Amino acid sequence: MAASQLHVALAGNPNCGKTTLFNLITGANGYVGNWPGVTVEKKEAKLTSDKSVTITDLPGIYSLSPYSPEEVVARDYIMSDEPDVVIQVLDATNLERNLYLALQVVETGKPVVVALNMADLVEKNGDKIDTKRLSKALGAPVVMISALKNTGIDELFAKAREAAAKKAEVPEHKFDSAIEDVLDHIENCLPQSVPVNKRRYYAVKLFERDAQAVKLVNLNKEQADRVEQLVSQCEKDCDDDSESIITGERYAVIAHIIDECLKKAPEKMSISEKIDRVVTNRWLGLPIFVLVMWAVYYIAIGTIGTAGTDWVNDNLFGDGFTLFGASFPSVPGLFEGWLTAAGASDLVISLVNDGIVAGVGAVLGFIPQMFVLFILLSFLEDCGYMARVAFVMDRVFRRFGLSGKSFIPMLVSTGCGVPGVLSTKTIENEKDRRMTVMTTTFIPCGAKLPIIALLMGALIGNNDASWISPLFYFLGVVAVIVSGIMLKKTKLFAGRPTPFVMELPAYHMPSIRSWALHVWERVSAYIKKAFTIIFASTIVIWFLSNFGVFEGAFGFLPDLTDADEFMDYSVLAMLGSALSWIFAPLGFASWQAVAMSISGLVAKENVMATAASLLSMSDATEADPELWHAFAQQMFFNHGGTVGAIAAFGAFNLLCAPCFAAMGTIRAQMNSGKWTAIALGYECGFAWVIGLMINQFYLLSQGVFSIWTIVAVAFAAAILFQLFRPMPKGAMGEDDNEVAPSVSAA
Amino acid sequence: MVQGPKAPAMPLSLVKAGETVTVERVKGVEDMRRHLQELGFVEGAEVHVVSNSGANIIVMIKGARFGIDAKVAVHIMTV
Repeated sequence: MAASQLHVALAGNPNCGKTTLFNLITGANGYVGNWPGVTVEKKEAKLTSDKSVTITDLPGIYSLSPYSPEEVVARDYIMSDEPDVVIQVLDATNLERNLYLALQVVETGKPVVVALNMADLVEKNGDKIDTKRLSKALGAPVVMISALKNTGIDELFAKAREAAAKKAEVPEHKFDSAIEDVLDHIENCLPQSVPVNKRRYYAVKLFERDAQAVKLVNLNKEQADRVEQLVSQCEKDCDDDSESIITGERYAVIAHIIDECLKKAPEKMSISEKIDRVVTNRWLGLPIFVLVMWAVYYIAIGTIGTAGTDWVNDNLFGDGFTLFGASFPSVPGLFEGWLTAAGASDLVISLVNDGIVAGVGAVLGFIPQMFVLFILLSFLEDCGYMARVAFVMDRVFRRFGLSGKSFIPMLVSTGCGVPGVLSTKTIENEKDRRMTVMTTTFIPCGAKLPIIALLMGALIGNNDASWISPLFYFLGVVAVIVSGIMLKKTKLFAGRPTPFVMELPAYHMPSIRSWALHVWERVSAYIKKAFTIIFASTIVIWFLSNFGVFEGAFGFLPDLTDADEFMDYSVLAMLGSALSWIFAPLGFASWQAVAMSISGLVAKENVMATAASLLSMSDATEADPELWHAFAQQMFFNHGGTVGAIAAFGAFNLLCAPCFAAMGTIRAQMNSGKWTAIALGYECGFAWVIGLMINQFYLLSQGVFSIWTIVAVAFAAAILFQLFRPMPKGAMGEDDNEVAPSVSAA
Repeated sequence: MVQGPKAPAMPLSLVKAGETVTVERVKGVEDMRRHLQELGFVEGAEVHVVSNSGANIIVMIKGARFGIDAKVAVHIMTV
């Protein structure tokens, strides 16, 4: 028998285990995109055990009131005709809180099945939930499940099918009789067109004066006046505004339900509370965090990760390797062998080895490092510690107009900007989220580290001093903070800083499955980038640098000329020269330096490879002093550049728009062409201005003065002005004056 | 109910760690007040203060732990 199509919406609070459930029942391979018009992620997939069931995972929310994009998305979807039934996931260990959203979902009149998740933990705590009574109180079937242990899922979907067949439900729970009276009167004012199961919902919405819902019911003038009169009278009687009345009533219903249905074991001070006393302590919080992060990077970059990365670079893509006594050739060696045997021309061998294998290999080399880093970061996130980090860092970040929640994307970006930008989705406020998307890639990612090593080698003749990478991470954070302060004072981002209120879930050991999924989600984003964008771009760059015009003929340059510097005639050289005017004020006008920057826009991993091949030192790495000298001499000093120009080149390449892959992710996350343009424009503009200032101020210290010196001074003055001017009037909320004195009193 | 001298309401930001207080009302701009009420800061709700650093505060309310900025906590009046 072919079952009919069934659309199921998954609703629930943040941290209720909804995502774990979604991954469990769908195998985590569905469509991931955005809800139309907002930067909220939409996940949709078929049920693994029954392909006729489509599951839509709604964003984690605390209520259905339409005040955040997440809430609007969830409410519009539940109220639409698409879902046949809503599975409302509750964290059974915390019924009181989770029931608030559940009541609102039941009020919509859609068929609802309540999934009491973490049923195993309830038993372990010694609590008892009377599901029969709970089901009666909510007017919806209740099923105990555990997404972690995979129990109760079949029953859940059996009930969901049953419930969906009913098409509609009328909510059971009742508020205080005085309020119910008013709601009854309002229901009577509703036009006949509102179906029976939705009358209660719209009555409550009219009572709350919910503008969006009111628009949908089309009351005539007389009805609208009557409703307004009823609501204001009730507000007067209760001495409270109508929305607070309903919120209070819902919690009263919940208190009653809890009384009836939940038998709680006596409480003891939880382990989470004990840990929180230490890790969120005013004095210990930050040092503990620094220590934890130091350990993470020491393991990921310093030891295991780098050992893996070096192995890949030196053996797999270098000299070949020996395993269990058998020796294996390296990947380039393997390809060269095959291609030569197949009689391929030099052109093809060059394309495969110098272009594709070198480019993609440079990316794959980062995988072991990234893998270890993401294993550790994902663990810290899933066990609950990162929420505390956001909390501790908020104290610092708030001063700069940023939220503590911006810190997690910045940490992830130290590995790769793609998952970094993706992880901004945990920031609730849309302005904060957009600003974090724009600035988080200022943090040096793994692929920028070789560029830093090359630059430091060229500048100070040393690239492995232990202070170098911390310094650049620090400079990245400074760039984020400076941008945060400046942007917050523009019209685009003005607004009261969002008050920081964040749930701190109990500490727990993440399940291996969800932990692994989390790591894989991030690493796979990176691997995908290696085989798509980087794969394509290396071919293009190889073409641009190997083809060109020599003595009037266009073709494969190594065939046309024997000169080692054949690249001087390449298309890339022409492109670089054509664009060099943009970078002349920054001091690097050589086409090679410009070409490196262009290849950096495609992928930062390309910059080193481009440098090496432009200098005809293909085998050199960033640790080679000869490469440092050649780099400084041929690309800068020979073209009138100075040490200032090298530093400006570094600043530009580390700050400008990230690689194509990250740009694509920014586009997906912003979900708007305009905002993507703003983000990339700001990043490149900021990078150019900083580069200009570095070069011009260095020149000035050497006694060189030009029109660009004045421009640099003007930019510096503008930045300082924007940093230190007071917040423009009207940009903050009107209640800030009211807040400030009470805080200083505290 | 025992009628006695009523202690004046005190903002949550001033409550010491380890104390449990009751929410009297929530002040401030509408959307923040609404958000706080939806999280459970309604009249009569019990709030247990886990830690209070002066700049921010951790509370238990309705079974969940929340980190709250002191600027927000001043809007929650408790007795």
